[in-house]
Amino acid sequence: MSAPPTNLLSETTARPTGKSLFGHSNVDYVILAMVAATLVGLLAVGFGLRDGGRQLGFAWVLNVWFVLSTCLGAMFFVAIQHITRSGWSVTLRRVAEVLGASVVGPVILLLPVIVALLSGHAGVYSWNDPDYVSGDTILEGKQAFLNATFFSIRSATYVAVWIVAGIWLLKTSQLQDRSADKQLTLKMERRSAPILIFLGLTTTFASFDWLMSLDPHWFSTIYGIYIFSGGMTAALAVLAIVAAVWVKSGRHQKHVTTEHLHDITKLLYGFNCFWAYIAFSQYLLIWYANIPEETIWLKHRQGHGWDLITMVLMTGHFFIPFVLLMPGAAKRNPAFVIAISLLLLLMHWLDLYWLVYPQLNESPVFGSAEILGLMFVISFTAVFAGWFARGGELLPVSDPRLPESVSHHVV
Amino acid sequence: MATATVNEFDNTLIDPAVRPPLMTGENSLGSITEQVAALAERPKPPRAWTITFAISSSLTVMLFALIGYLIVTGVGVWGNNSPVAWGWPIVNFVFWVGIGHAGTLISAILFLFRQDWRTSINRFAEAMTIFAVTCAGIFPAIHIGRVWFVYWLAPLPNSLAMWPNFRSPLLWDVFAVTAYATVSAMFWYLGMLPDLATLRDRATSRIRKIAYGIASLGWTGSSKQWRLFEMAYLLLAALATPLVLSVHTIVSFDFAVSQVPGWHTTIFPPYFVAGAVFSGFAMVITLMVPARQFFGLKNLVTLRHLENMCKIVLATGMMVGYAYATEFFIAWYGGNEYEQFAFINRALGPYAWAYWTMVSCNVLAPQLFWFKSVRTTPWAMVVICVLVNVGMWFERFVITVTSLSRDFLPSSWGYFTPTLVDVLMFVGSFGLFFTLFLLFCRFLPMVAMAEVKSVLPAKSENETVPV
Amino acid sequence: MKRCPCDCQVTSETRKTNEVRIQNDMSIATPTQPKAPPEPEVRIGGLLAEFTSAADVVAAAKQLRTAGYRNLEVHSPHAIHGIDKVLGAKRPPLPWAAIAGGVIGLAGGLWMAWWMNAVDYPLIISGKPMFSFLPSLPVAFELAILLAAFAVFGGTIALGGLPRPANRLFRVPSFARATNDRFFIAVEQSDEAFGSGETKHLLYDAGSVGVESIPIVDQRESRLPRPFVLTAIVLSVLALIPPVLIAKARYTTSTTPRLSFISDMDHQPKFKAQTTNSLFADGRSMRPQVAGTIAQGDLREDSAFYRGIRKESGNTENVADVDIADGTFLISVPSEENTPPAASSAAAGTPDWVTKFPVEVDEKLIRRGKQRYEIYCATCHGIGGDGDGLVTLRALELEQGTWVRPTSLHAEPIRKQPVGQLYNTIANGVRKMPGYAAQIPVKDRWAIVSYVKALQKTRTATAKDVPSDVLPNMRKLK
Repeated sequence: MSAPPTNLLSETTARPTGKSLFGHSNVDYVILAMVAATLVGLLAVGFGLRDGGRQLGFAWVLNVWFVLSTCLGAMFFVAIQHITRSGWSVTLRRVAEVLGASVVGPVILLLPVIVALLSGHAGVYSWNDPDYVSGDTILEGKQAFLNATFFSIRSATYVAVWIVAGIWLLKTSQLQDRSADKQLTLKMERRSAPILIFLGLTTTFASFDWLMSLDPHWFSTIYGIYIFSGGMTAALAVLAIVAAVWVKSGRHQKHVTTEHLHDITKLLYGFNCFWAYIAFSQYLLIWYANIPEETIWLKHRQGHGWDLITMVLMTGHFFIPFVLLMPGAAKRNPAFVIAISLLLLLMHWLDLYWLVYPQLNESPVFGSAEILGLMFVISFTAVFAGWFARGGELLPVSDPRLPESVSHHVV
Repeated sequence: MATATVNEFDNTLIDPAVRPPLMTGENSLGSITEQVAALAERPKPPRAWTITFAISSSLTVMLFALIGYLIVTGVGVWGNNSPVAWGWPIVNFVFWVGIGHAGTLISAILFLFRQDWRTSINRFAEAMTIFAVTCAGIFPAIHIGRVWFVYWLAPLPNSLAMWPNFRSPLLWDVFAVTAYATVSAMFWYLGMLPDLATLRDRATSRIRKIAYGIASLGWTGSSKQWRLFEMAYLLLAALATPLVLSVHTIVSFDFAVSQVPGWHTTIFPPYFVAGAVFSGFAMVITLMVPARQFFGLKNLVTLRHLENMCKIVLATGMMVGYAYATEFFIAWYGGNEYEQFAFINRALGPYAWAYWTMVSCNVLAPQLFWFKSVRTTPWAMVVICVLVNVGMWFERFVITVTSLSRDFLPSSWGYFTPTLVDVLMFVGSFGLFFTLFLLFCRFLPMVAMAEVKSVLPAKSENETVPV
Repeated sequence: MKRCPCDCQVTSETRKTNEVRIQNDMSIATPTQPKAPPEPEVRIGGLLAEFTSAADVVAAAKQLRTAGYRNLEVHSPHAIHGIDKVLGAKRPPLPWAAIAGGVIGLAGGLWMAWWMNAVDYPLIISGKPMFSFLPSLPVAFELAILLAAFAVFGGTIALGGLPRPANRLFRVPSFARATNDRFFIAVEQSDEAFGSGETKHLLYDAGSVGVESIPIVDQRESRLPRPFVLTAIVLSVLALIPPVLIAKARYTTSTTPRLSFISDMDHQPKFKAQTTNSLFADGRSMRPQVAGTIAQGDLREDSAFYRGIRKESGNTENVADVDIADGTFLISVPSEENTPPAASSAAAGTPDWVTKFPVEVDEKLIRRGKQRYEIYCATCHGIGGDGDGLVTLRALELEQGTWVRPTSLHAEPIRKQPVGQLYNTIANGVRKMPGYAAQIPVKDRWAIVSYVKALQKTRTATAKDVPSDVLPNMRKLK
């Protein structure tokens, strides 16, 4: 209870609310320039690809899902904070809300793939190739589910849920900034329960549709949770980075302190362990039962150069953060947290790469399509993030639990 | 001593700006001690306790008599037979281990998440954990047939120069359940030290003084001891959290590493853990509602506590429902005809009655918790939670029995029927559980006094100070 | 306990330290001495000040620390946050204990899985590798958690000085509320800043509601009560008896049959060989072979190979001659292995022994034969076949009258025997020599025959028999 709420409000409202995206107009230009440059570069690369844009398609799915899963993770985070009536995390919630609403970016980028599928282009998804499917009993059996039309309808449903949930959570919270209506907190808490259910179902089925069906034969019931745990880790890594940058730079120093950094990093640590747990469970069960139709998927990833990536993932996604972030002091060191969070973001990307790319090529391929694709999707999403974050501080300034959050101390 | 008010103060209404009190009524350090310690100190227990204890201890005697009968006669007294070699004993084992998850979850995970409301219920739930794990441990131990060779489960040097098989999930189970029982007991005991010291210092009879004196190890509440206690508690919580996840994960491995259709599915580990938490919380509510009624703990275990637990039951119930749906979908999607048959057989085969009992109790019943009026009506939540535990027992029954009863070879198909011994042993395990539990309620501090005191608002603390 | 906060005659109140000693041996929990006047004495162990709230005790501790007190201890019914900083306490090293326990548990678990299943008792399980990290991790993980928890728990007990059955503070009656609703500061007499008068004053000033002296307790009195010690000694001695008995049983021999608490499968409800059975008319438990049948693997049509006799001769046809028409069993199953050769040769004349090996003879077979010969035959026949094996020598040395010295394999009649006859001798024995059919498989018998033939050749061969390309080198072999 160090600072009464009135001080907080005056401090935040005193800041000029500029019209630029991030409060610094030059940042806007940089981002827009990046988007344009990468788009042009990407198109150039795409047209230049020999395989009819197949690699570009994979790069597209990979990078869109990298950002998409992170945005979904942020949405999960926000809904969980509401439903548990969390006080400590209020100062970081706006960042997560913005990230969640920015799902609009990657979701728009799903469109080209759907268009390609509907126009009969097999590209990334071999189940859309009649020649490939015909004669394959298993794939023929799945046609009722894996066909371009139904796929598009489902995707439209997911997209609708995500956009509505993401924007609603952000807009309601922003509305509270202005109205300071406590009832909105209760409303968000109530709505978060169904939101979580819808998010859970859509994330699961979207991951089945968009990622698991890249290998249309293979299946794993835990897959949805695997994608969720990875996305959650990535979202928390982003939040940890933001918190660390703010702690380091002193921006919002009254609101976001080392205590918040400590806790968000703990959560990151926990969810990263959860990811490892899910990954281990999936691997162990498939390895142990040794049923060829399941094992082949992992077998592929244990050779042809993928074994190296598997090892890197085990080390970088789990062991290094697990050991290095264990001491409390490490979780309170902004520079350290930024480094580990960046590593984890990279690892989340690599994890998706490991899931997606073996379907493209027998051994890992990496080139400008992947890098430019990543840059493009990130900057494209950043435009939306900037738009959603415009005008005002990245803090829910009128949240009734803000004072509690501000005075939060890790005991 | 009983400070229960006639009209319960409803602390479930929230104003987001104000944290509602964790406890209702006027509480001070002394009154908390008085309320809790008095329960363990009264010369005669309430009549309800005596009656329940008489019943449960008789059932315990029956359980041990049946175990004796089983050992002398052999496992043929059960309904287990080819192809269903894992019948009720394993179902009961998984059921009880699942129940035993809520305690550590409340103690450890909620502690790590700094959910202060846990302090009123954690001791209770931890005790429940230990007793449930005790009940769980009995079944696989007697299921091995030749009980006198139970030490073969452990890697001990023996005259056969053999070692257990470390690649068997059943061995992992031995380690997991043993480690879980041990760590839970340490966690429980460590947390109880300060309260045992309170009972020691309040004891009036010599026997109690000696007994609590030995049990409390000479605790005085020095800051050095508290420093160690707090750190140890945090560390044990941090250790118990992955442990509690691992135990039911490993139990799920017993099934999932195999190739039996309906058992081998990768979602099993998180699904089992969610189910365990689900059943454990349901059991805590089932026990807590009557306990707070009879022991006058309504100020410490408030409606808010119960409401929160109902929400957890609802949330984990949704997770379990999610797992059922995913399993079903992937069984179809995977295109494996054996897997498809196993699931259609579950829903429409000879055990369809069990399957739909499970679905109604586990997925449909908790949906009533969407209504706040249900979440705040103690009898309603007891009914739902009992249903949940019925459903969770049937879940394990469905998994174990439906898959086994349909062998790959249709000529080996069978229909499992339990014997009277099966049924009575399961009933007897409830007797053991309640016996231990009632003894705990009678002789040990039911609420973690020291922890509750530490979350007592500073205001009431000052009230005791004569200014 | 109510006392004037001003400086009373603290030091002169009582002199008899001894009285402070409490007669109660049961020092685990000292009961409140009813109405005993507080007895501060000349030499006291320290002072114990009572406070009513955590905030007060923290403030008081702060004051005392500022005043230079270093040997303070705060006792409270619940953990007080921030008190460690006030007291200048260091973080206990429990995390390190936990890490050490965890690492040992993890390594120990992996080691067990590897050593027990891949080294000491290699066990193939469904084609899985003998050792793999993956299935070893669950056990290693559980052990890591278990040992880390033990380290934390043990560390807490040990570093906390527990169990501590005796404590001087228990002799201060008001201290019983330390676990209930009061907060205490104990100032040790050993503290450099300690002076009983000033300290007491300071404590009252800091907001204490009562200050009492901590008695000095004789070491002897804080010992465990005698009955406890005696019980412990007796129990530990008794506890040694079972392991001693087990150890004795393991390292001594006994002529009595083993104790069988649980009979396991010692006594099974089944019919054994050579016992009677009321189910059958003939009362036999062992059932004879059904007429016209033959046991699996017993159809040995290749007479030359199995008996060393040409089939055409039909000399000793093996027929299971069973007639069950009237419930009587006429059985004669004269397999080649249990037909006494002497009897058969006497009754039916000389059998038509095969003279050519029914198996292919090559170096491998002869080497096998040599090895088998040296295992089974050489003990009596000698390595060289001269009838001078170790058993023979020993029997002759003992002058065993019943011992028949085996004929030298190099004797003329033996050399002239057809291979079939040699085979028959190995299988069925001759004179005192028993048959080896039970020990030596058919193929190996032929191998031995081939080796015996080779052995015989060593005595009769000339340089002409040696291949010309080997001959020049033979001298060198010497």
